[in-house]
Amino acid sequence: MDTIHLLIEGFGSALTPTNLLMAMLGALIGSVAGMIPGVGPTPAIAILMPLTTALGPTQGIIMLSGIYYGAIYGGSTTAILLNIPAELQAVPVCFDGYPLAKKGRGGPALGIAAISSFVAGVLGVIGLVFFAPLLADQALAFGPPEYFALMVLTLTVIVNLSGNSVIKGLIMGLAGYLLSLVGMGPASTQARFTFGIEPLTAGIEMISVIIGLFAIAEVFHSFGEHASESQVPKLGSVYPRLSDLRDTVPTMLRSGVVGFLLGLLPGCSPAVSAFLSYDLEKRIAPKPEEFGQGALRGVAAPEAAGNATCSAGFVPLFTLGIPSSPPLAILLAGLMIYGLQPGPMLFDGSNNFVWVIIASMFIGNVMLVVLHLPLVGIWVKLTQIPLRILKPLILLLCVVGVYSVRNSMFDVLVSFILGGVGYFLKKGKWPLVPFILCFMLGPLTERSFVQSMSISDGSFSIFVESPIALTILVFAAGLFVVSIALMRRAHIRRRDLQLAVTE
Amino acid sequence: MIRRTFLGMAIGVMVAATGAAVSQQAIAASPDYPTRPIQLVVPFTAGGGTDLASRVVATYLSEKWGKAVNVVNRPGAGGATGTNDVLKGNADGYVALAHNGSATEALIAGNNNLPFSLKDYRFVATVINEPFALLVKADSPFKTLKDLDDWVKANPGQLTFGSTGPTSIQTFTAIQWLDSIGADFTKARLVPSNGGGELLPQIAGGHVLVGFQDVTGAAPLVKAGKLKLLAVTGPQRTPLFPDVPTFAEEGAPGVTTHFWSGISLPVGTPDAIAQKWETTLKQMMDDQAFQAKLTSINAQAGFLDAAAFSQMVNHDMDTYKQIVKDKALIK
Amino acid sequence: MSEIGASEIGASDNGANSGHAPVPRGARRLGPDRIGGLIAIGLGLVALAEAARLYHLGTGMLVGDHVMPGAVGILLVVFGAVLVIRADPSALMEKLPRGRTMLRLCGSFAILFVYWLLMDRLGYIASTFIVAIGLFKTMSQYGWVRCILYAAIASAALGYLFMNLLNIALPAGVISFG
Repeated sequence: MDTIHLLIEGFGSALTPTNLLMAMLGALIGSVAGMIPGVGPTPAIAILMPLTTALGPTQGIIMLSGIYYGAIYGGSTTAILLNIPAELQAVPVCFDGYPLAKKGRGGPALGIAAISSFVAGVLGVIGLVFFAPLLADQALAFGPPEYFALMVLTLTVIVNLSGNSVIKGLIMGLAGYLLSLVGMGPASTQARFTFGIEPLTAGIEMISVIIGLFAIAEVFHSFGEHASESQVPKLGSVYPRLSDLRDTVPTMLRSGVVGFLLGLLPGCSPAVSAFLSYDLEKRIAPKPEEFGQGALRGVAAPEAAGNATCSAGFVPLFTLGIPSSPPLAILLAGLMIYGLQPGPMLFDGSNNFVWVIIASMFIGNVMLVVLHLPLVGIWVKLTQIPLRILKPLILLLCVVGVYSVRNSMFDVLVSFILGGVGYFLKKGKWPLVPFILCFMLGPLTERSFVQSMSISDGSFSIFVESPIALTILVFAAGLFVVSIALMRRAHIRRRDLQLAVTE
Repeated sequence: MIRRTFLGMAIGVMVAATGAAVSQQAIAASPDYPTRPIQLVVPFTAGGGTDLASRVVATYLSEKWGKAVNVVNRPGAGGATGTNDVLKGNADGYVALAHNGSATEALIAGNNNLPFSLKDYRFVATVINEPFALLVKADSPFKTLKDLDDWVKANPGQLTFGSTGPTSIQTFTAIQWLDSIGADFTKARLVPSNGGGELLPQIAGGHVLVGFQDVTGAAPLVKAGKLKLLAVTGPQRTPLFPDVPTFAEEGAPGVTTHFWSGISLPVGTPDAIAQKWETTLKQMMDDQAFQAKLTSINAQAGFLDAAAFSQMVNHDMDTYKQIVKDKALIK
Repeated sequence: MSEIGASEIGASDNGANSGHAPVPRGARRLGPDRIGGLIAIGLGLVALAEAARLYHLGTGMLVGDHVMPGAVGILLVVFGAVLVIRADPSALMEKLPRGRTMLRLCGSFAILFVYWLLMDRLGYIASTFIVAIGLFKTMSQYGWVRCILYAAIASAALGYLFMNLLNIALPAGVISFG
């Protein structure tokens, strides 16, 4: 096996004590940056890029991949411990992560998240090494109608995330979609829903919505209750048990593969695969009712899928030169300055440097686990800090997180307003997740629809003529009907129970 | 009494401090500029061509001037948000704009209600200047631009092209091309996209027939064997793809659009500072290491000094305005 | 209590829209679901108005920027109406805090808006210092000395972390390091 030989050589040049230190440093910086809502990998990579140029290619790239993987993982720490997702793909991690933390099992949840992250990262690297040129071509088959179908499939997840009222979930989803339409329209590039307010032409930034609805509203939601206590009175075991691992490994592998395949599509964000695989695991779980109450699988699924999608982003990046996210674009520029030219011939053995990069990615992933398993104990202590002092600090951090994405104070104002709206929505028991899901899917859904209709000159036949799009759409419709039917049955059962109780 | 004296002193100190701060700003125009970090605002998200080029520039300037030059992304509204922030902000030389034709003359020509105009810029210099390329997928039946021209004329209403909007540079390029071969632009179908990252895979996958992209952005997919270039705009071939003919060579003269990236300051910036930028950028363009970095990201260097830069933008602006008017692109 | 809270929101958020919607059976039955339904109808009508305004920019019934606003508008009106008709009027809102706690809640929220006003004028560190004092007072209910001390530490630490270490372009204003 020529590939394996080349990979071993890559490891040979990548594994030196200095490089390991760089990987560790990168993973640490990345994780801390990733924990701050809104900061994430982009600024961390952008700022350290010039520094890594000074370090030299191998060390620079090892450090950068550590930062990248670290930042992706860091987002779930605050999601699990504080119910505050630092980025969109961490939203489904909250569903089960936070209930676990409240039960005093935050440590095992973090541990499982770190291991899921590692499994997904390794799957991603393996996929990159052995299947990259093959898979990249398949991704090109996805055009506007196929992306539109994929968006519709993701929308069916709403039904499962609506709590006990599908119609409220649908309304919240539509409202989120409506908010995503604010700004320039994709076809005319004219302002929509701006009502003369100039900063709105730039559209509403995703992070403003996440921070407003999930962080600020969360902080105010429990205002005045237990102001001086911490959220968990007592800590249990900090590390996952062997049975926990046995229980979640199949989930990690399944979600990792799903996430990797979706990640081959440059337009598919890690959040899409995180939501889809959470939904998938809930459907096939023997006890779906445990999801949302603190199932470790509910943490493993979105974490593994989201991270596998991020790792799979390297496939279109290396084989076609298409970056699927801003941090990857900056990373690509850095690699090109070191002399790497993307293309299918990258893997034919003529370029040893690419194997050093791949080995670095592997080392970055290992470092992340090595670094984080001991740190889990420290992070979990976060839940022991009295909420009284933690809450004002969270608000202060949120402001910087929102500001830093587009360097805009207007975005900060929007997040405050949405915080207020989110407070009343929470009090009125309206589900927030469909809102954020549709807000996220809105732009790509609309663009792929408008593009499809432009290509077909206004005929719906384009969605039927594409076998991929048709298959996905039929599958989505089936899933929707089944979900509604199951939902009604559960609803009737619950009502009968309630009646029985009141009688 | 003592208390009042204290208060008086405190106020005195504060006034003095404020005065000092103001006079410091006045000194800012002196030769030891810069005395503090500079923001280089990119009105797009991180990772695009102009963003990457400005990061290379920022690294050079930071070393040269010994003060940090930080790239700040302020995206939105096709570049209008960040551009307006810079042009209407402090003209003290500490906030500069890295921009390109899409967010400057094409944006202004296509919008009647922008809060800024060409008069608000103090153009400094361009760093990159390169042609747009007409792209089709690698295994497309069209071998030359003439093949495509014939097909377009024989099949009206069948051409799909990707563009970021009805008044974008890509659309202007399509109009100049179709006009010069005598085809009807109104029959072509514009497929709106949000940029090269989305459009190029759509062309490579055969979903959209043609696209126009700056050579830098197209290069990775061309080198990966997924796209091919049929022609490039402008008077000369590009050194990056010397085998690809120009539109004029293929019998379609009059396709004049081009891609540039450059740096500007708000109008009213002290002359000494603007000149320092211009001289340093000129030196940078002659720097071997800088040139090598540009080449490695497939960018084509193209220096224009302040006067030539301003003239070029104004000339392009007139061309684009005429197209918008002729084709009634603004409804 | 919760019902009073709910109808207050209804009055403030929804006054303009109630004319378009079926009049519910008295304010006492206006639970959170009905209010939400009415707001949904209102949003739907806004979306439809915007779709109508954008229609002339498109190149056909189904091609253009008006399509999605129109579709979302219609669905919002329909689902909103369904919810208003079928809502369970016994569904209640979670209790809103009252008395001093409510006052502190509104105070903290107002402080956030003060933050937004101050940031560009005073810069990050100074405005964070002032706002942190306020938040530690309203949210944590510490004594003034502790508030000022914690606020000083928090603003200095965050300012150094974000502006100097992470290089985020926050407004520098009156106080900054280096």
